[in-house]
Amino acid sequence: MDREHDEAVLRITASYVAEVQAGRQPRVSDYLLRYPQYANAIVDFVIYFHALEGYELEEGALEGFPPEIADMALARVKLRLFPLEPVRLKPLTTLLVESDGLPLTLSQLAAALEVSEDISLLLERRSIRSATLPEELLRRVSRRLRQPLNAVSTYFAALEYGGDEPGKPVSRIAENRARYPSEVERQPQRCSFREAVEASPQLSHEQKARWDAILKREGLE
Amino acid sequence: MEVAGVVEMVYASKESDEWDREGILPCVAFDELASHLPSYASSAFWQAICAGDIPLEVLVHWLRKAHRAGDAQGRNRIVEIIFRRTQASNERWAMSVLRALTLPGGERHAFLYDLCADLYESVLRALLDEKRLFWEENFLHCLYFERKHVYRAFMRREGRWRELDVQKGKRIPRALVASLDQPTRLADGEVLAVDVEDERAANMFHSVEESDLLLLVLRLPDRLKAVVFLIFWEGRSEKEVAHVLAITDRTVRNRLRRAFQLLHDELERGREGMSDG
Repeated sequence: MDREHDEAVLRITASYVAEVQAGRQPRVSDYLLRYPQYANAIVDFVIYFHALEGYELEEGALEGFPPEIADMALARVKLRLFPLEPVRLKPLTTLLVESDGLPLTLSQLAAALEVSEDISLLLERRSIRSATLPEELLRRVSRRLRQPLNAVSTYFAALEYGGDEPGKPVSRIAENRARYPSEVERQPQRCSFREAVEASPQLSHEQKARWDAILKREGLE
Repeated sequence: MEVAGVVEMVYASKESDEWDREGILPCVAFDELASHLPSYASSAFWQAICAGDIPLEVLVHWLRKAHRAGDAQGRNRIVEIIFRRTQASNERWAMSVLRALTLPGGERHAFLYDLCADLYESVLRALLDEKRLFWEENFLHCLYFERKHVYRAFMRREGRWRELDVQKGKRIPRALVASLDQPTRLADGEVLAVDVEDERAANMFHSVEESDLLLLVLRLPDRLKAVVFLIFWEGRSEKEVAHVLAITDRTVRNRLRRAFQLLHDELERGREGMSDG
């Protein structure tokens, strides 16, 4: 089909859909009388539209739709269409800057992650044990900052030297003892994500309940 | 300029007669919106783009500009914004497609992934094709069309789209042919008054959900689709259909008969498949 034909069919059927969505009940036959040369294409689209686009899914039908599918599909498509572009991996050093350098406020971060500002601050300071962070939270951080998931995981795990005790070094063979930034030595005892959620005075009951459900689902009791 | 006010300012400046009769803002307004945004790639520009109230048509405009300028990072960023904003709608569509299919256990996620990836690739190619101008006028409608193409291609590839064609030499019951000469009425939810000897054919329309039947009708040859739709969904008489399609009454009846047989056979094939497990 040539481009002119396609454009014409698009415009005609757009008009039909607009009428349907405005609550009017357009008649396909009127369109076929007006545009007989596009009859087959018009009917084909109208039938498809009423079968799959005008169809209302029952409530809860999207439950069980794996959240990672959209990310994976988009990643695959970009790889197919832009295969020669190098992947830039910048180490993540803060949660308050996006991958292209745009600053982010604590409030914006909190909104994106659906947590409170006090929890955002704990996350930024890496004051929550990384092993207790739900995958869902890491995905939201990854999405908001447009950073790869492994960069986000690495960011949160960066202060964990040999388990959950901050400041305890792990030396490899023939390696000099590491130097720690002074903030690490002064860092307060880190809590779990669940403890942070439960203790937060800024999170609503509904938010706490949602995070509780996510933690249970991921087996993080 | 206050970024947040750009969209409101441009819409408010339109007189009511500048909107076409369907209430769709003409393309010129999207061009105006696009030109009122802050300078490309500035912090204010990205804040506006990420704000969520910029029409998708304007995002397509800027996506194409970024791509033309070779700004891969900017292009990718706008692509992600567009796909995030349409993600829920695309997921609903994918679920609607799979709802009508019987899938072996464990294949559902694989199907969803393939379907989504096919759709995203198709949409992205369309977005990057500057000749496809309607994306900058009515994004959602173009998305419907893209989904239609992807649905068809996907079903064909998965072997689930068999074009319904009459097999030569198959005898059509004389009673069925005779019954189609009687007046029919439908499309308003009332019972189809078809007096046919073959009860299975008569019950066909009642045993299948309307959307599933529409998906079957979609697979009919082009010449038969219009006749079926106009008679059974729009409630037209054979004479009216003949007038609309500029064919004779007899041709309408012949096409209806062929469509009836094809749909009936396909439904029977489906039932046999299910009973075979």
